[in-house]
Amino acid sequence: MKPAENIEKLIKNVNIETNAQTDDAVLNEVIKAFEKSKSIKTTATKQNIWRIIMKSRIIKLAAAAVIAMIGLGLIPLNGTTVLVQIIKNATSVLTRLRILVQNENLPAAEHVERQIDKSVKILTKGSVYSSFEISLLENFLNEQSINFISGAFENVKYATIPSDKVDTLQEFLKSQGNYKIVTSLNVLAYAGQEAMIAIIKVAGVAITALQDENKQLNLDVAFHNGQDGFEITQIKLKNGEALLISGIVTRQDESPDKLVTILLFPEVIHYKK
Amino acid sequence: MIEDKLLIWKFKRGSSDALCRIYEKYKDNMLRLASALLNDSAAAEDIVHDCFVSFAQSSHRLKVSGNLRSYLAVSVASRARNWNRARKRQETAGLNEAEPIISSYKRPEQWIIYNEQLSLLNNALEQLSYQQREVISMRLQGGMKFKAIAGLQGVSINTVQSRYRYGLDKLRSILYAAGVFR
Repeated sequence: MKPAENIEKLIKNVNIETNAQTDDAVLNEVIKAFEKSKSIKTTATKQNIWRIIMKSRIIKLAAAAVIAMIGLGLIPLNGTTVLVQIIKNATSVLTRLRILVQNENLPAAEHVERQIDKSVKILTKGSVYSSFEISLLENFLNEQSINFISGAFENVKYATIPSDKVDTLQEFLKSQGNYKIVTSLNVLAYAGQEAMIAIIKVAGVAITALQDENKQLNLDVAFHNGQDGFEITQIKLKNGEALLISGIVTRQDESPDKLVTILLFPEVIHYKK
Repeated sequence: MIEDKLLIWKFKRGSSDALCRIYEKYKDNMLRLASALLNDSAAAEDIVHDCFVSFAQSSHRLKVSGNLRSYLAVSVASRARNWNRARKRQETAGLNEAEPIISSYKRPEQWIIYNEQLSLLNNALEQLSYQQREVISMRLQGGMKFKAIAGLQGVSINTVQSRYRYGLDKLRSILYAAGVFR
């Protein structure tokens, strides 16, 4: 046998033993999660605005708020830097990453205006965002009779904002000026890409985008480090449609608990190649 | 392969038996892969746990185009990569405060029982670059094709094959020095 085959065989067949009790405990948790997901599946599917959009093609806008609270020391600058590097190479992709502040001397929250490629028509209104505290958003959504939909995990939930309430939401966001914008980013994902719509309380986040061989952008928003897992909802877009995800990373000015909020707005847009 | 297709079909239709079978069939593989990628038993266990829980919750939207083992391997590898990235960001402790590479803590609920061979191999893999380690682990422990790994790493197949070859060479010399090969 060649040495290479020898070592390959060693790695392939390395023996691993597991604790039978832990095996069972993990399997029980897996089964529980499975049963729970089966029970919430029907409700979640009914309220999945993305599915409705994809099927009806009538609704021109879908906005979903995605908020994640992450530890202040874990702002994903590395992740976003990688994201920018990769996106820069994707010539057909609209993207913009605007670093407003880095670490210190935070300016007051300011308007973020999107730079849209002329070939892309945004079907939504509004280009000005502000940031907010999660509880304020929750109160606001309650007032608007918009309910959070439970996610797969206990502390995961998401809300879909009907198109007739987007303007109201944006007014609300603009009125929240107590927070400071750290970073904003725009990402365009083409048909077949995945995007996450969820609220997740975790300790870390990574946003990555990979351009595949068909020049399409594979977007991956993965929350990690808090071991709370992540939830990705697959969005299938038809030809001529794309998903623009605008995100703002914010942090509180003098927050005792030093939490950071990430807000992403996925929107369905039409584009021309 | 056919069994996997059948298991996925049943799983998507709500069969918990199919889920149990998938878990039993691939848990060792995934633990081996995660521990090779991370060399941290607690993190590896958490990642595999999360991977299976997330998989269990995805039955209604699951789409497995390739084989199931690769699908799970990619899931583990992505989480491992994120974990490593997070760990790098947090590496601020002084050397004196740092824990050994493999945690010596024995937890009562410990899932992976390390044997000498596994520890030796993981320590050797730890000395490779992360890209090389990922290619080798995903190829040999995740059963993935070079093309799929290339897609995951965002590089050409040639690059992946080079990483594989050079990684194996380095690994061989490390294990030779450790007396595994004589």
